[in-house]
Amino acid sequence: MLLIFDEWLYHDLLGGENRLGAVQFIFALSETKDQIIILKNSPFHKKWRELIDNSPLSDSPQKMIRGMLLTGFELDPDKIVYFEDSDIKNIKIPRKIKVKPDDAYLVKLALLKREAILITTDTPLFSGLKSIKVNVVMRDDFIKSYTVKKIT
Amino acid sequence: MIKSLKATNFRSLKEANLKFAPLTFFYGNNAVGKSSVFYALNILRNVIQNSNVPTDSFFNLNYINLGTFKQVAYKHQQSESMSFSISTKVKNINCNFKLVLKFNSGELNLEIPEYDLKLSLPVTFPYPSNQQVQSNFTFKGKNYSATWNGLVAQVTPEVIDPESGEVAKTATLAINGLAEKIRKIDVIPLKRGFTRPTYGIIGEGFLTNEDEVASKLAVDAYLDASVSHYLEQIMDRQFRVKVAPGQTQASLMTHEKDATESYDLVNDGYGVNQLVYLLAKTLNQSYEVICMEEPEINLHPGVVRKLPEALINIAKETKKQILISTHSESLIIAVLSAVAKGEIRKEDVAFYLTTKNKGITHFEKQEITRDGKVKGGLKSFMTGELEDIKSFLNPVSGQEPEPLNPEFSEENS
Repeated sequence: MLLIFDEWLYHDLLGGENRLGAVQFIFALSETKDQIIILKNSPFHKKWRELIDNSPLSDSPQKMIRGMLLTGFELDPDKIVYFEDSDIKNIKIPRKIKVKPDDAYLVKLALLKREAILITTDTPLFSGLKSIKVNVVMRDDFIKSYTVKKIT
Repeated sequence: MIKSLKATNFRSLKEANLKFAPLTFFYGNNAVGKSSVFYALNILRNVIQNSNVPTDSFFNLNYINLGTFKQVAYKHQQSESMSFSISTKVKNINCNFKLVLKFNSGELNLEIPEYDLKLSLPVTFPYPSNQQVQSNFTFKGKNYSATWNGLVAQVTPEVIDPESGEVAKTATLAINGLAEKIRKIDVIPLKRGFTRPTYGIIGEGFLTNEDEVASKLAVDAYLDASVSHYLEQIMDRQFRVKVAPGQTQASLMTHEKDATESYDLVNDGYGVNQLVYLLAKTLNQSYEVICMEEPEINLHPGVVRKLPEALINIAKETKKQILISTHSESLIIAVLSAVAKGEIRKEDVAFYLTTKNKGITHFEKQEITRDGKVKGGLKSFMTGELEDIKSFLNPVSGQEPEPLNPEFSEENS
């Protein structure tokens, strides 16, 4: 399974009430053959790198999260599929849906890899993508079923 | 270089097949069988070094005595034989040696595929090398006879001419070189370091204890300088051995770079101490295959990160082969970083994730990529971390825990 995330994953891993769920999800994901799709230098990619490169050592959970991202994803050549801007530059987003400029790369990635699932917290984006039959799931629904299925 | 090892029915190694690189790393949980690989190689060396002892003596590795045949046999099955096979190249000829150990006897086997030569010698231990096996082979249309006592061989051509004489000489050197290669295996165990400021200089021995290692450092004019060179690379410390003229006592000293005073090694940090011991054993010219148990012990992660560079340089400069067991994620990541930076070819490194299931050790060779990644990731280093993260993110609220010791309860509250 190919997965595309928007920036909620970064924010959840960094703190807040969804942090534990995000950690359990990432751990479950590392145990599977499922892959993450990342567009190089995209907002998500920059935040992903920030989690790995700039995790404060004084924050024990963050240090461990960094370890999980590093050992379970970054160091495994089969875990992340990277794309470049040039891969998506010719992908056209259907006019019938409205997409914020910052989210355009996510939609283009989903259109490029139609088998991928985009996991989001953005309801308008979710509805728009549904209308053009892109595989999209809301974060809470996805994490709940994925983590339970993979961990238990 | 030893290219591969196969061990069967030894401890938890029911059937282990390993292909080695110039630098081979074993990682995994405690008690999964990583050290058994080193013990297996050490047992082979013991047999080649001195076969004229009872079988159980082969399991005494000096730094650890594994016990009797029954105690080291897989599932303590005394009726089963155990075996240790290695493949190597001597004089550019592939040679395979296999030792079979049974409760009271054994078998020494040699194979040179290029000559289609196979020799097998059943023996009873203690074996004083007084038996022989003979076999004929044909190479490039000429016939040869090989006689072998399990350790040393003599190959003679049926018809003597310059060409067949050369083949016989090369074959003899290859077989005898194989035993020599096995003799040059050394293990650097976890228990290491120096415990005194000075040592009496004694005979060299096999460097199995601190007295022998200290003596070697004192009498080998080049060894202490090599140790100092790599110690400086790793820890910004210099090392020297001081022997007063006419004295038979050697003092081991360290010196902080840019500092004025020297210290007795035993009064320096134990990380430095064990590292000097490890470097002395590694750089000693008598051995070519070095099995290193957890080089990272007592070292700060920042120092551990510098170890791979030194190990790579040692392997490059001395052509030694180094096998390493480790629990250090920092060490493994630093090795991957060296691969990514082009300091070492990915083919020159082998990673084995070691696990144990139902009492059997499994070795999973993890493929390394040119950009310093490892297929399957390094999740084994994160074992248990999820539970820790959970406890941080979801702390149990309620009563304060009881003090561990009531005497401390007031002062520290």
